[in-house]
Amino acid sequence: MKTSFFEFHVAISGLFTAKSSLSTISHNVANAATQGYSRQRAVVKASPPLGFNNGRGMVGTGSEVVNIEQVRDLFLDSKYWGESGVFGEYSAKTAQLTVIENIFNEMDAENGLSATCTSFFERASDVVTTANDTTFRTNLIQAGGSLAQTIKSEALALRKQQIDANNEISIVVAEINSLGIQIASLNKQIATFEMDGSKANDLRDERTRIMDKLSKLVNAEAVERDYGTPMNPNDKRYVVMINGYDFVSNYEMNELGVRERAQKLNDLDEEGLFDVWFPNLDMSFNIFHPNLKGQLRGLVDARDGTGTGFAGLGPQASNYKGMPYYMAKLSSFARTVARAIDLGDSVDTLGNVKKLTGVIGHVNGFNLEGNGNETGAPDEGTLFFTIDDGTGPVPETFSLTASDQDKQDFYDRMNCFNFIVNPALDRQPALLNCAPDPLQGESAYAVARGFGYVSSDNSLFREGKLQDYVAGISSEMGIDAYQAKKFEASYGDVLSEIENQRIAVAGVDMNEEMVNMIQNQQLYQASAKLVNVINTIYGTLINNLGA
Amino acid sequence: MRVTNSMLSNTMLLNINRNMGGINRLYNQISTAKKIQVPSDDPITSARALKFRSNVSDNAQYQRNVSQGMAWMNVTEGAYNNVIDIIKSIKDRCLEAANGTLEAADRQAVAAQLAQLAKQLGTEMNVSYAGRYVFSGFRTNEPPMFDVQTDKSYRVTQDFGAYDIERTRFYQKLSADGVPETGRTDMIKLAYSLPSQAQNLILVDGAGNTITATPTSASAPDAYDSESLASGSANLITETGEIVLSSLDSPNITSLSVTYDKTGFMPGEPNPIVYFKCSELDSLGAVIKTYNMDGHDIMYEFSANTDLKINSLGYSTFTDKLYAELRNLGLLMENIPLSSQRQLQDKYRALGYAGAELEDAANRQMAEEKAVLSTVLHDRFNNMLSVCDSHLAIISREHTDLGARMNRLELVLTRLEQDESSYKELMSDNEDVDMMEAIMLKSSAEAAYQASLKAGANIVQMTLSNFI
Repeated sequence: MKTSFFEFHVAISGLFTAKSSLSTISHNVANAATQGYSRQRAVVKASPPLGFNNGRGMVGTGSEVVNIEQVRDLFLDSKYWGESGVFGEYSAKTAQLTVIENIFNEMDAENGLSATCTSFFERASDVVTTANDTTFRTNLIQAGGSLAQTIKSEALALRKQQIDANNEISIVVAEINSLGIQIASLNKQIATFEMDGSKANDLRDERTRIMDKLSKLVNAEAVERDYGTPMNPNDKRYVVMINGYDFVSNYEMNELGVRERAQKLNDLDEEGLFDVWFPNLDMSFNIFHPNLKGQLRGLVDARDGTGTGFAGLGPQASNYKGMPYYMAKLSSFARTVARAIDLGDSVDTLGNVKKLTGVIGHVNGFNLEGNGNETGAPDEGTLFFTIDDGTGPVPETFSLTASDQDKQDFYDRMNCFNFIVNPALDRQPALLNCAPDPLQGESAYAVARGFGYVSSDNSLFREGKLQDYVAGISSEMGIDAYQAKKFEASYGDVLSEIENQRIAVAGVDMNEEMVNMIQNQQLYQASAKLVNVINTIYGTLINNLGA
Repeated sequence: MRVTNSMLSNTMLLNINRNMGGINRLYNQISTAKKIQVPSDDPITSARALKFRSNVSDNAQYQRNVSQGMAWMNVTEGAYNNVIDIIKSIKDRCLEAANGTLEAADRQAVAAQLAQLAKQLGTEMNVSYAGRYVFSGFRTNEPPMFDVQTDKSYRVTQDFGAYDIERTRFYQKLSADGVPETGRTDMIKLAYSLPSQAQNLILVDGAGNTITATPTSASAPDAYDSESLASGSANLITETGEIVLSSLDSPNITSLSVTYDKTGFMPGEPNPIVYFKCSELDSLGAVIKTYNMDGHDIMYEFSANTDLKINSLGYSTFTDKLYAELRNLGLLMENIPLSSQRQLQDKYRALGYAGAELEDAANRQMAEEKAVLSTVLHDRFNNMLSVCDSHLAIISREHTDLGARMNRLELVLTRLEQDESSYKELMSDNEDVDMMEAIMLKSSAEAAYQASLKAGANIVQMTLSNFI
C-alpha cells in the first residue's frame, strides 16, 4: 500500500538524481583539461518498485544514483606502459648520442678527428718535399700534437658524458623511488576509501598517472590482485613490478639504491660507476637484463655499452655502442696509428704482426744530426707518439731490439687518454727522424714518406684505411643517433596514438557533457514541476477536502 | 570511435609541432647551406661528406706537391740547358784547337777559356732551389762543387771502366833545349791532383789484381810512358792526378777501383760526398762517417701511392770524368815546354854551327818540336771532343728524361685539377643545399604551418556551449 506523500519521494528522487548527475558533469567539465583524468558517469537506476497487494502490478519509486563510475580501458594502460618504456629508452639514448655526436663533431671541416688526421698526413707530405726545413718538421710535430690533443679531448668529453650519464642514473633511481612511495601511499588511501566497495576514481587516475611516469623511467607493470574473501570482499592489492622485480606490493615498497661498482667493467671507465640494487634486500638489480627498458636502459646502454658485451659477462652486458665503445675505438686508433708511425708495423685481430709496406717507422729513422735519438745512444730510437699516463717519466725512446712482447706491452698501455706526441720533439724539432740512413743527407725523407704509406695502407684497420676508420666512427655514431631519434619519434607517435585511444574512451567530450547537462537540467526542472503539481494536489486534498 | 576535445587539441598540437619541426629543419639547411648539420641527420651523406672532404684535401696537397716539384724541375732544366751550351762551347774550342797549329799565346787563351767554362759548369752544378742544391740528392746542404776552401779529409773511391782509359800520346822534353819525345800513354784521370805524399792509394782492377802506383812528377823522365812500365805498376802524376798504366796491363783492365785519401779541397773542386763513395777521416786518418750516393732519388707524392722522381744528380750530369779531362787538358796546355828560338841558337852555336847552318838546324828542331806537339795536341783534343760528345749524349738523355718527367707532372696536374673539380662537385651535390628547392619547400612548409594554425584555432574554439 502506498504511503502518503509517496509521490513527493518519487519526484524528489528525480531532483537528487539530476543533481548528482549534474555534479558529476561539472566535475568532468572541471577536469576536462586534467592530465590523466578519466571521465566519470553517474550510474542511474530506477529504484526498486513497490508492488500492489492486489497483484495489479508494481509502482515505480523513482530513480537513484547507484555508483559514480570511471570510464576507462585498463588494457590500454598496460599497453601504454609497455611502449612508454621503449620511448623512455630511446629518448635517453637520443639525448646521450646527441652529445657524443657533438663531441666528435665530424661535420666540422676544421676540428674533427678526420680533419686533424688529414692535416697531420699533409704536413708529413710537406716534410717529404722539404725535409731539410725545420719549419716543416715543426709543423708536422704540431699537427701530430693536435691529432693527439683531439683524441684526448674527445676521450675526456666522452668520460665526462659517462659521469653525467652515471649521475643521471642515480637521479632516475631516486625518481623511481619517489614514484614508488607515491604509489604505495595511494594504494593505502584507495584501499581505505574502497572498503565499502565503491571506487576511488580520482585516486585511481592519480595512480595510473604515476605509473605512466614510472613506465618512462623503467619497464614497469602493475597488476591489481583480488585477495577478497567472503568476510572481507574488497581486499584488492596493487603490485608494481619493475624489470621483473617486485617493487611496490600494496603498501610496501622495496627501495631501490645505487652503489659504486667494486670493479670497473672497462679499463677506461671512470672510477666508481653506479650499479643499482635493493639495499634492504641486499639484492642487486640487473641493469643488463635484455628486457630492461625506459630511461634507465637508455642511460645504462650509453654509459656501459661496449658494442660487443663484456668478456666473461656473456649476455648480461650491454652490446650497445656507448661511451666505452667509442673510448675503445679512439684508443685502438691511437694505438694503431702510433705503432704504425713509430714501428712501421700493425697487429691484426689474431695478433699477427705485419710489416707495413713502405713504412720505416720513426724509431728506426735518423734525425738531422744523423742520430736515432737525442743522446746518440745506439739501439734506441726517438718515438713520435708516446705515453703520458702520469706514472713515472714519459718514455721518449724505444729500444730497437725490443721483443714482440715488449712492443705489445708498450702499445697495450697506450690509450686515448695518455696518447701524446713525444715531448722531446716539442722541445727540439730537429729530433724528428726523417732519414732512413744516418748519412743520407738533410733532405732525406723516407721515414716521413712512410707516414703517408700509413695513411694509404688499405689493411691498417679491419675497416680499411685510417680515414675509413675515422669516418666509420662518425658514421656508426651517426647511424645510432639517427636510429635513436627515429625510434624516439616513432615510439612517441605510438604513445600519442595509445594516448589518443585512451582519451577516446576516457576523455571528457564537451559536447557530450553539454547534452548530458541539458538533459539533467530538464530532468531537474521537470522533477521540480512535479513537486509543484503534487504539492497542488495535496493542497487540494488537505485544504479543500478536510475543511 | 569517440572523438573528444582533448583528442582534437592533442592532434592539433602534434601537427603544428611537426610542421614547426619541418620548418626548423629547412631553416637550418637554408641558413647553413648544408643539407646536414650532424651525422645523425643523414649518416650516409655524412660518411660520404667525410670521404669527399678528405679527397679534396688530399688533392690540394698533391697539387702543392706538384707546384713544388715543378719549380724544382724548372730550376734543374735551366741548369741542363746551360750545361749543354757550355759543353758545346767547349767542343767548339777543342775543334778549333785540334785543327790548327797553336802558338803559345793561343794555347794560353784556350787554356784560360777551358778553365772559365769548367768554372761555369761548376756554377751550374751549384744551382739551388729555395736554398737547396738541386744536384746533391738528399744532401741539399752540400754544394756539388765546393764553393769555399775546406780542410776536411776524405777517403775517396773512384770506379773506372775500360772506356775511361784514355789511350793517347804523351809529350816529353827532358831538357830545355832537347828534342821532345812522344810515345804511347794509357791513363786514367782522378778527380783531384794528389800530392806526392798521397796516402793509401790503392788500385784494384776488375780481376782483383792490385796495381802499385808510384807518385811521380809530371816532368820526371818517362813519367807518362806506358810502355816503360812493368805489369802491375803505374805512375801517379802528382800535379794532375793522372794515373799512367802499364801498356801490358791496360788492354786487360775491364774495371778499376781507385781509393785514395785527400785532404783539403779548393773552391770549384767536386764535393766528394756528392760525387763519390767516400769516408770522412779525422786528423789521425780514422774513418768518421761513410757516405755513398746510392738511392738519392727525391720522389714527391703526386697521388695516392704514385711517387715521381723530381731530382737529377750532379755526378751523372757534370761528371767527375769531364771535370778531370778539362782540368788536365788545361794543365797540359799551360805547361807545354817548347824550346825558344834563342835556346836553339845557343844550343847549335855550342855544337859548332854558324850562319845559315845555325839557322837551319834551329829551325829544323823547332819544326820537329812543333810537329810532335801538334800530333800530341791533335790526339788530346780529339779525345776531348769524343769525351764532350759522350757527355752530351748522357746529358741529352738525362735532359730528355727530365723533360718526360715534367710532361708527366703536367699531365698529373691536369688530372688533379680535373679530379678537384669533380670531387668538389660531388661534395657539393652530396652536402650542399639546393637553395631553390629548399626555399620552395620552406614556403610550402610555411603555408602548411599557417593552415594548421588557422584550422586548429577555429576547431578547438567551438563546443556546444557556444550555442546554448
